[in-house]
Amino acid sequence: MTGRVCGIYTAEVAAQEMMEGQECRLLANVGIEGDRYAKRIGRWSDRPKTEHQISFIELEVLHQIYDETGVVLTPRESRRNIITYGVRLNDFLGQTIRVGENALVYVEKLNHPCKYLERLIDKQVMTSLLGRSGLNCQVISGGIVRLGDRIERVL
Amino acid sequence: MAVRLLMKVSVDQIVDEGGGIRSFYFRPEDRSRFPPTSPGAHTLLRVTKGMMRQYSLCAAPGDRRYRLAIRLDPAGRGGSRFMHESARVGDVFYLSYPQPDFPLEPDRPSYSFFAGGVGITPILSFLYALQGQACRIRLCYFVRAGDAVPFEQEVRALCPQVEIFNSALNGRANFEGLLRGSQGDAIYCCGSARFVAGVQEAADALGTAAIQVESFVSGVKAGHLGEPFVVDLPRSRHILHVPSDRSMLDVLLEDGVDIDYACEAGVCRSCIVDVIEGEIIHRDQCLTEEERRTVMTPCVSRGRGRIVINSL
Ligand code: FES
Repeated sequence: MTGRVCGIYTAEVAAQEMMEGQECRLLANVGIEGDRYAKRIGRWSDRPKTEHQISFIELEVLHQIYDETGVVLTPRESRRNIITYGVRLNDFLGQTIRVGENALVYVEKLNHPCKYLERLIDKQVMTSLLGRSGLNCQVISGGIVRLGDRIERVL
Repeated sequence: MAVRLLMKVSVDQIVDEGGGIRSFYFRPEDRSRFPPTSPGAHTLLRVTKGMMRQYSLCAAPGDRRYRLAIRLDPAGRGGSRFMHESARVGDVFYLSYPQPDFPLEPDRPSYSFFAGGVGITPILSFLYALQGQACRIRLCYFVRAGDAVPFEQEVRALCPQVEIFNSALNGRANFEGLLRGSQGDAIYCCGSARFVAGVQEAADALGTAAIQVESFVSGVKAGHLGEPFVVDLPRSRHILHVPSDRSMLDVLLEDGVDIDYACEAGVCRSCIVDVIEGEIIHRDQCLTEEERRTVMTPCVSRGRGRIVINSL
């Protein structure tokens, strides 16, 4: 199964509105260059965990939430780093995926939605995100990721 | 509720307003303009990592920047000191979207404003909003004797009939006298917790209809905060011990718990958590009695014995 990168977002500090990019650089075992977690000032950075290095969510989920609840959760508001299209992210749990040419990430955890996001963006989305809230991953090997890049399981 | 996201900003101008207060003007760094504000709105300023402070937004209409007025509080927790001593034009900070929680009721025939010191700042935004409207405005402004009157020119331009008092005279008797002349007005009061409590007491004694109040905090008691207690977090299976000299918020943050906070004084509602079980000693100034049955503000409130909280 191959998907595509259709959104790239980072934030410099915890709670900052995400900034949209055309590309980003993944750093092995650090995260995304310039992002809050890579800079160790993210919300969880007082207790750094590898799973916070990079996060993903499906664009399809954002569409489903709109169809089901009428709530528009934009890619930017979802606060995930990489928005994907054309792939079932939950199927990657426990596996390594390639993003773009070289970057490899290990899918450590299914993301668990939190109230913090609801309060930050003032939208009721926690319940509708349950079970499809994306992935929390560790960067195994670095590389540049660009919009349109492929996402696929490493065999 | 409002969006609480932070925006990247930089200091555009710093102006001394007298009385130890400086206005900091910010402009957006990664967007063309700021979201619009409403009268009485405040913002959360990320001073440094782990240090968020709440300030009223008080720029004149037409100014596309945000203005925050910050009084130097040498005995405070360090936010105002950092801004006064270290912040320079061009420095980057992060400010939240406007938080509209001290709203002005529109279209009233008459308004009375009671401001204590830097509590004038949300009132300034009210005065700007009421400019040109056919309503009667009364402003009682209490400032420290010997200090220059902060924002004096601006206040007089907006409200030439302003009554300025020495803050040493802000006893209840004096407030009662002043409030007698404000019966029937929409009444707003902003200042320190003590100032606001004084006005509120006087209003209660007179049977004045509800007044809208907002207080800010300066300083925080260190040392003994209360008895130690235990917090049980079933979702993460953590059991935390809150010692007598630390707040529950501190202990939660140290444990890496996902919790928002800003004022650390029980006024801004940022840190609210759901209580499943246990007795809470509420010390906030923002929850209703109804709310206190199910939630608490761990920045100031404490538990007795063992408490169980949800959502973390
Ligand atoms: S941090 Fe403001 S109420 Fe607790």
